[in-house]
Amino acid sequence: MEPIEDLLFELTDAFKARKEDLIELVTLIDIYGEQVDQEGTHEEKTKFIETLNTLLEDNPDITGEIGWDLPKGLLKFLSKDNVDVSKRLGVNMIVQGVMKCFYAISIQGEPKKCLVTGLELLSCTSVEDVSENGQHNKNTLVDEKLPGEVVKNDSDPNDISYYGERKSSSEFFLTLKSYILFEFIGASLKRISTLYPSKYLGAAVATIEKFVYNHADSFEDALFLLRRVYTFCRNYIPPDPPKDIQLNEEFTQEMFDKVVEKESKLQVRLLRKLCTFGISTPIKTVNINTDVKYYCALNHQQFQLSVYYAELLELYSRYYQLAFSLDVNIENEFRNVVKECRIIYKSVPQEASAVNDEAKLVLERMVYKLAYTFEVQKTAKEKNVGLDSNGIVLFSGINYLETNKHLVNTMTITDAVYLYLRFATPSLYSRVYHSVAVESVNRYWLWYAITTEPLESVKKELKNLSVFVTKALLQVLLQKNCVQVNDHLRMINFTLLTRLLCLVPEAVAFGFIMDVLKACPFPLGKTSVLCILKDLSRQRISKKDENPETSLITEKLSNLGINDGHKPRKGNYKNYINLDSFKMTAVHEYCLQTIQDSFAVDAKKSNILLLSTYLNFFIVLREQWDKDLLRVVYLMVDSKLKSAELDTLSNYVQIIDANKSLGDYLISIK
Amino acid sequence: MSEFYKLAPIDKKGQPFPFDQLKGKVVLIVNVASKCGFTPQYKELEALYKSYKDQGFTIIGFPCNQFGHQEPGSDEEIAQFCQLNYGVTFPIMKKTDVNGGNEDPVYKFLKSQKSGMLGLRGIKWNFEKFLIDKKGKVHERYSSLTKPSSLSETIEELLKEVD
Repeated sequence: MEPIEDLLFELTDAFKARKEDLIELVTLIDIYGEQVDQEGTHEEKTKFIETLNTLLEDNPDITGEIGWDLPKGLLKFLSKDNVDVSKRLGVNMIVQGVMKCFYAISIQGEPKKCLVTGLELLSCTSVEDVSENGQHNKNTLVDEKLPGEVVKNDSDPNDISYYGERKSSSEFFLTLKSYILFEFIGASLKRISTLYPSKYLGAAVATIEKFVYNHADSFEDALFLLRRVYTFCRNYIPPDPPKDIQLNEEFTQEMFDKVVEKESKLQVRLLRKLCTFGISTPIKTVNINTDVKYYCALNHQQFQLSVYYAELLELYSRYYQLAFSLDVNIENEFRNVVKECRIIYKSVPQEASAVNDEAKLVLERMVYKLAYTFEVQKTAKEKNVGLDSNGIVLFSGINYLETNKHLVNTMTITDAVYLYLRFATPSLYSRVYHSVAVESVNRYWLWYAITTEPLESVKKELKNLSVFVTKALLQVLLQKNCVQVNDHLRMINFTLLTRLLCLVPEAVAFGFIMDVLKACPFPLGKTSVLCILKDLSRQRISKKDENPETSLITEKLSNLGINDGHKPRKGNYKNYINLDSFKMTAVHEYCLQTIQDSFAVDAKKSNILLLSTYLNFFIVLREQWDKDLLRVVYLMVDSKLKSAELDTLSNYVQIIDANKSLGDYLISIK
Repeated sequence: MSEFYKLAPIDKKGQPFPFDQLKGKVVLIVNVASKCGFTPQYKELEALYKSYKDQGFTIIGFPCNQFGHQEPGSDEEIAQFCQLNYGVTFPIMKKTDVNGGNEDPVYKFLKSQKSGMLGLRGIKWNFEKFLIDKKGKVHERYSSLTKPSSLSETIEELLKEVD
């Protein structure tokens, strides 16, 4: 590389001399830029960028002509070679210089071309692309020392803690580049003089949606995407119509006003769409905690969020207010979503209409796929720019987080079940529809329905609900919870599942538990439903519970503690699940299978844990359980233990203890 | 009589502030916040108020916490902030909502009379302004970006209008 002073002189000279040949000037800037970026020192790179910025600022005419062609080359300077991700960006003169160049281009460049460039670059920017760019020249990592800066070996611990949050440098560069591009796009849009601004806004919205959509799963930090889309929406100012429009007989003032009005409406629709999409997509993998807050309120517990979740909450609030600013009637839109859910599920037949088991199976599967099919068809047929339903559901939850009030006063359990299935089941067919945040809100509505509606009406509705729908709800809730990694959330969700099982008809509840014990692929699912069964067959519900005015479910189920002592009560009480010989035999059969699995050569830890749960289940329910069945279980386990290899016995410590306890009981009652 | 004069929002002391006392006045209504980038507009608002109050002009501030939670304090704290930092002497109302289900009737009325950018009714951010003429008609709506001092000319014109 030639000396930087010479190169900068030539660059300056080129701006003066080659005004007539702008293509050559752009080529020269590209070549010099690439050369300096590859071979120059940090100081030389800084000088190059600063000189380029001065030239762009001092030559607005040239910037107007060639500015749109420079962003790609400028972004290349934002790489690992030039930027130390652990330091504050404000002290990096290359980053500052690149930003200044973008600013100069955004105020002087040809706005339509700048917009197209910005959109193209945003759609191409990805983590992979950024990683590759950051790899070259990495052996010559430049010490990013400012002139006169004292090199400190001991970095400020505060700096480390703050910038230590930049976990992934590739994600860091992606956020840096996309931040610049979002600003560039917004600035360019404002300057486009057009009678049809929706055309340009539409292009920007489509690109932003694609960008957010492509990165929602990969970004560790949802805050970034939330902020960018929010800022874009809030800062959007429609460009003025061209001042040189000639109004005449062919294009009258009235026609002009109509175009402006139509364009305004289109822009509003685009912004509303982006607002609802912008809240729902970046937080697809983030728990919005609406159900947790409601659960805490029910149990008079304090609801506290970590700093990160509190920051997210602040942004949710901003989106919520933005929706109002865009005249989105959140309540009406939410009611429309609920209506849509009714349309999807209202035709699901009752179990009696299925003529045989095969028909039942078909209907069971159909319920799972209904919402997915609906969603795909809706997307395929959508002609207008509509709101994102996920975003609307999220706003219903954010309303509670923000105001402590519920968006709608009445939410029937039927609607809550439909709402949950509508948004939870499509994700079983495509990851595209997976949203942890929306699920949290819909669980909140389930909680809300069972704790605010009179108990008898909740039970009646659940009784009238198609069994296929009820089963799907219970199965999806369980399945989703089995993969929940947060213990606290898992406990809350199991509590919800337990409460629902208390409310559905006994046969449905027991049928669901048997289905799980028979075929659930998650060991946790089996152990969990065994615990729930243990609870439901010990907890008692008043038969007198007929008065809807006094029968709020919260009160009725307040004694659902897992470790409650078994206190037989006289009179008008019955268990949620009454254990009869049919039910005991059914459970017994699955237990025998588990014993076989637990002592098989390829036995897994989960099998042994499940057997342990079975034995503890029998120990707790031993007074109610069929003693002959208990004896069979005891003898079978005992026999298996005796024939087990000595070196494997250490795996069965809990089984040995539990079976001994069961054996002692059986001896005691002889 | 304009619907405007039938309104009676609650002031910072919890007392009704009947708008019929504003008949014949030019009024500027602003949703304010203490921790906003636009908060320094208080200074220009107070200057406007002082310049024209004797000619029949008044400003009414509605503190609002809806935008970025930038008005978190109590009514007393808000009043104290305005007084101490900007010497505000124009009336400040009780903290209120300007959008959504709990929006104050004053804002429901104002938004119904004049839409903002792109025909949108919703208030976009703190320090949006509504200018009302002597007959209680909403003359214009201004965004947060509009500096209060830039309204002088319009206010003077409205003040010249015959009641």
